[in-house]
Amino acid sequence: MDFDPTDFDGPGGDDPLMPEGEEGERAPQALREALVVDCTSNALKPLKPDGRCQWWEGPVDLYNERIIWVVGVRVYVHAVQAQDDKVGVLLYGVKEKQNPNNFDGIRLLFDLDRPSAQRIKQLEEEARRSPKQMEERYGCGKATPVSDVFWTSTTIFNLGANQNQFDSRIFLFTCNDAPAASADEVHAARTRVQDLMDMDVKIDFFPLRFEEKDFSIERFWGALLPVDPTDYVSRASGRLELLERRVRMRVHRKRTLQRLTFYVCAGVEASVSIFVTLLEAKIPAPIYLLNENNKPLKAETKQICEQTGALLHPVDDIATYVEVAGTSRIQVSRQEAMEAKHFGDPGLRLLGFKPSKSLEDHHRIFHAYFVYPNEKGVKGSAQLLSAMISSCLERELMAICSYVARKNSEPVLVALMPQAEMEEDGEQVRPPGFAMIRLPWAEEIRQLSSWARSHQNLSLPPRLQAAAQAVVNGLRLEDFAPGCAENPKLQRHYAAVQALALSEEQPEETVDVLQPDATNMEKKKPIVQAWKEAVSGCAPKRSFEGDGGGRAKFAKKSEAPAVPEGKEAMRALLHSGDAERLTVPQLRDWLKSHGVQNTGKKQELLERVRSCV
Amino acid sequence: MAWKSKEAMVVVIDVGASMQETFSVVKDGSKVTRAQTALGVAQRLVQHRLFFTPKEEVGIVFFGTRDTQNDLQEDGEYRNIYVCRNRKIDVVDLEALRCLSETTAPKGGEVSDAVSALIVGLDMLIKRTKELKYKKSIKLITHEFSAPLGDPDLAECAKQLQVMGAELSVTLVGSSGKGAWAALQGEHLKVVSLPELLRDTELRVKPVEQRAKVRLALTISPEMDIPIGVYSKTTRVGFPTMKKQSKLAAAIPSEARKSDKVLPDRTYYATDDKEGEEVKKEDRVKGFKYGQNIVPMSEYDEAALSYSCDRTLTTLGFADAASVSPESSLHSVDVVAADKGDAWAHYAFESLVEAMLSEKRVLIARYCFRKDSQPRMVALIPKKGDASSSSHLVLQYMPFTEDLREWTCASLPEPTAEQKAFTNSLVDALTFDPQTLRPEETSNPSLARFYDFLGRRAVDPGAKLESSVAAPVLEMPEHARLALEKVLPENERLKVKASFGLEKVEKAVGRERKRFWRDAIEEKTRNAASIGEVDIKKIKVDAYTGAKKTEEKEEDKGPLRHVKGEESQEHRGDDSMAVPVGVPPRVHIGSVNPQQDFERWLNERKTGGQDVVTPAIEQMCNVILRFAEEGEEFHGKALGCLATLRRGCVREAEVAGYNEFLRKLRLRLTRRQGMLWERAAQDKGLGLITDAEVVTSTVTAEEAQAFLEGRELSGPTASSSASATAPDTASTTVWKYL
Repeated sequence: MDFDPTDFDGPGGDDPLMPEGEEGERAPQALREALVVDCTSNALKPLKPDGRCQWWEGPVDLYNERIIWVVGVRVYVHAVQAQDDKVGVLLYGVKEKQNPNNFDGIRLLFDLDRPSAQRIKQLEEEARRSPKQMEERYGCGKATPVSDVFWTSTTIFNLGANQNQFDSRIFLFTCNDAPAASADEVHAARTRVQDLMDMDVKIDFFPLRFEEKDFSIERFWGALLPVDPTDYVSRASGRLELLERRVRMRVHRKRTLQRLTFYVCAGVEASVSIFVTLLEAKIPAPIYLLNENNKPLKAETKQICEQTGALLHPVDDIATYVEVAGTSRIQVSRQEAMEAKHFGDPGLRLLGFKPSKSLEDHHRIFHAYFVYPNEKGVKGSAQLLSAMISSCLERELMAICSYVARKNSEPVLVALMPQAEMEEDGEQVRPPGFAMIRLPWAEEIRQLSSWARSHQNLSLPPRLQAAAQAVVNGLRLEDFAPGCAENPKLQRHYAAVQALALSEEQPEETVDVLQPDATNMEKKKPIVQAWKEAVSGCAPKRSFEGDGGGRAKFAKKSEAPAVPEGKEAMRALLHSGDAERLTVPQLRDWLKSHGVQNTGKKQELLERVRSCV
Repeated sequence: MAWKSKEAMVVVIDVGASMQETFSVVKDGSKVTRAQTALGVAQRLVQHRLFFTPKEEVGIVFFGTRDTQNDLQEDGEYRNIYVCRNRKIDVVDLEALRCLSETTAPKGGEVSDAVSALIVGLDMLIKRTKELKYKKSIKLITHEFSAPLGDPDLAECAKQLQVMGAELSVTLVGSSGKGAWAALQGEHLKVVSLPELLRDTELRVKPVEQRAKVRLALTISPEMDIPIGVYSKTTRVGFPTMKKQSKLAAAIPSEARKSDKVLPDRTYYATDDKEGEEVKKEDRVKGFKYGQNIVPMSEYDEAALSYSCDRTLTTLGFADAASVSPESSLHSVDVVAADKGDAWAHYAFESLVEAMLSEKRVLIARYCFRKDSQPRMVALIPKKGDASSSSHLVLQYMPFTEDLREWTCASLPEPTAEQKAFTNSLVDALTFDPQTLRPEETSNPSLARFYDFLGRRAVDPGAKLESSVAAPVLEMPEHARLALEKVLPENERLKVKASFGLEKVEKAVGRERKRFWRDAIEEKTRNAASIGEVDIKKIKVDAYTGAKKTEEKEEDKGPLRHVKGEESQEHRGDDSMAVPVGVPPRVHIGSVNPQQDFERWLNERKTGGQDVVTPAIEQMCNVILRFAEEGEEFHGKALGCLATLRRGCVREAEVAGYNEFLRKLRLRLTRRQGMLWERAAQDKGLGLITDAEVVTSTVTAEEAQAFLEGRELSGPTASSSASATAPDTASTTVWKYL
């Protein structure tokens, strides 16, 4: 894909989606996650009486095992996403104390640090332990005040240098819905949570419930834990299932790309946040290492003047121009090119509405964005957008806007497709807002009028149509949803990196899901065959070799004969007429070896060869 | 592929007497003559060829000029006709553009004769193209009166055009009729209007020959392959490439200069050895991050472990057409059509398109355009052929799981009837017909502006970019604006704003309002109609059952609310989630970074607003006491806070706040407070704030010293009259002690 200066997602592996900080505040680069695991009570009790966990069908069936497994996956995920994220693991309610604050019952299993191959191996071992071994190793059921847990987390986060570089998060796993009884304890816990929030630490809560007992969030945790006001809240809080997916992919945080003013009409303005919901994931760019010691190398790019060999300053010593008609230069500075794009300040300006249907299938030039009201910019935006969405949905309209993403970006036209909220089982599957589709300019659409006009107005015999319909119906793909398959190339890459990191013999098998269903194809063979015959009834099938590629059309050119050594051989070749088939370089080489001038066209060369022999 | 024939164009421009009349008036009142307009049009034509089809050949003829310069002038005829560029048709270059600029164009104003000029133009075309295969055209820009009615020469010209296979397009500037040209219209002679003439120069893009970028087979099943071609449908078009040239080389006289190229040079060095040698390519190995490890992957590993596949376009199945939406397109799209000239493929393809359309299905396929390239999941959307194109499938690139970033957003509030009425009228007023702003007819204003600037810069190196250009496509269309004006006049808009509560949040003041899980659950349950059925998978929410009414719920939650404290009361019943504006910020100093918090709150006062200093000081004192109580290991931090508190109090002249607190601390109310005081007393910098520092202080330096040492000098507070004494004397006391 080509690079678009108006887009901020640019090429390269790193995530350049820097949210536009308010007043130049620096955006965090990476994530810090403390995985806090409750081991106070019932921790080793099976979630279901028969020892099977209701969500997890695998061999992991106990609370702790399951959590350790999840934690392992989490660490693993961070390792895979090749970032500077840091992960720490904290157990509470265990017998041993091992933490910076020296609190009882809290054990910092792993310091907050970047995950490594060693850690993953260690966690895999932990996950294999039986409950009994777990009990022996860590000990459970020690009452530990929740306030101490939060305090320890605070300390852990505080110990790390330069907090502004990180987004901090706590993942809290617990099966205990009423850990503390005394009012003092609750009060203390709230103070600590407050402290965490002062540091902008987010707390993700993962409650686990036992079969025979409901987990009541109201009893204790509900008043303690804050939620993100702009996020959807389902009744089941954190979804463990999401964490369990051991997909080799980068986890993306929800981050605002831009906050813009939405000019509805003169005098009426709202504020919106723009999110990226779709971006092509690629194999990250490699870091070059020195092969002797595997130390990373530093790259340096210099601009050198060909004439003088001098090192050039990228701004002061280099002028830019546009070349026209092959030779003429028109001097244009980068500044001027940038100014040519400037038509107004950043913002989203409403131009009008059009029927949604007028957006044709080929009006795609870029990936979509998601637009959501930003109440922190203009209060009441949510009300306005909500009303607009419902008006547009009723009339089946989309809004057309001009969109200037940031100061130096080109203005473009976009279509805002209204999107109603959709829920399934108390879970949001589609957030409410507008999907923003960038419209192509006239310059960007190719007109395809020239092709295949000769076969227009084919009249299809009904038999053929019916046969084709049978095929379309026979090969139905039910419940297809975008993003239902994993990228086989990326999966293989990550598996390979992991195998090398953990010195495994073979990379883990990756499944290429992007393959046709062979058994179904076999079953439907007759109807496809019928269609094929119906087509052949209308026109003869052109036979082609290979895979139908362009090469098949051109008959292989007969190979040029070998270059003759001496004059005798050449004479023979000339006599037979095969000399004509010699290539120009061959002729030139021959002439050169015989000390004759070897420039000119092929005919001249041949003439010279003839006169030579 | 047939060879594209060369093209030759002669632009014939009338600058004669009849063209000197005013054609239009620009905003600032200056008049534009017809000749100027004609010149401008000719410029656009030549510019477009210069930028996008530079192989095309161009000849430029002026007539009605004062000077005469043409090949046919010898026998005294063909006067007032001036042929630029050495009287030749040649490949377009900057020179061609220059002779069309107003300053260098030949002076006009004489009698103009379009017929003679046309003959000169034809003569040039004949001389240039001879028998060669050329696409020939003449663009004549003139006025109705330049060609006399019924001129026999004109009829002769028309015949000649036919013989040559040249096309003549006549554009009459500022004329209502078609004059002598009307009678001659035909295949080779057309009268076109100004906008029509400029139409093909509107798109600032190189015209491309439509060619399949990939030709392969669409595999339906192992038995069935349809030969197809893949074409680009949308491609990004940006500004032309900016090339680099070295200014150092430019300074060298051109005779000695071989090139002024800038060569990029990328070298690798060992990170720890900056002075070291450059690392050669063969000594480098690729590495990939795995957590904190960087895993080297040699070329051998890469070849052995990386993914490999064949080129293919294989059907996975036919999915519901509704499951593929514009939101799920990764980037630009391509188009698939049956292989050219293959009747079998056409029948198969056509029947497939028909069947998919009637069944409302799209084809989902695996697409890999080249061996070992990234395989893609694509959706093929059927499109029935019409007059302008044949049937095809639009190839949309679908995302993989890794490409999706799914997250959730809070539900939006239900709009009120009044709000809905506004958006309804807004939407109705601003709805245009589908033909307005069709992407196919809307060209990029940035490109237009840049190329326009480039054209002017080409002629005049000093030309400047137009500072502000209106782009109509980026603004609300005039008719829509007027329609809106009618349903919603300017003065009504305040009402609208009020109805939505639209109010700009200047800057988030104070701390963010928190929402707890319980609030969220409460909202959810209130909205959800089906509370009765409880999904056992979900976490149970206490206190709610379907039968209970909202009021009862509120009551139920009474005791719980107490647990939560004032916070929840503050925003209960407040549906919006934003920070309420106008509510005074709640000062809060946490125990994590109390010093920073404190400083921040003090600064808050400086920016204006309510008094936050007093609560800030109070809370800071509490934080210090808390640290004191929590254990000796926190005393260090407490002292730090104390220092900050003192600094802040000195700056804000809040003497009492600090001094009172320190006195209280000295009372050693608890054992730990006493320990803290002992440590504080050792630090001379933490003593009472003296009158030397803040004039309102009643404490002299002497007293402060004594206070720290634990001696009682006099009463803890000096008389208030002491504070009223001149600061001069106070400072002298300090000097004595220093």
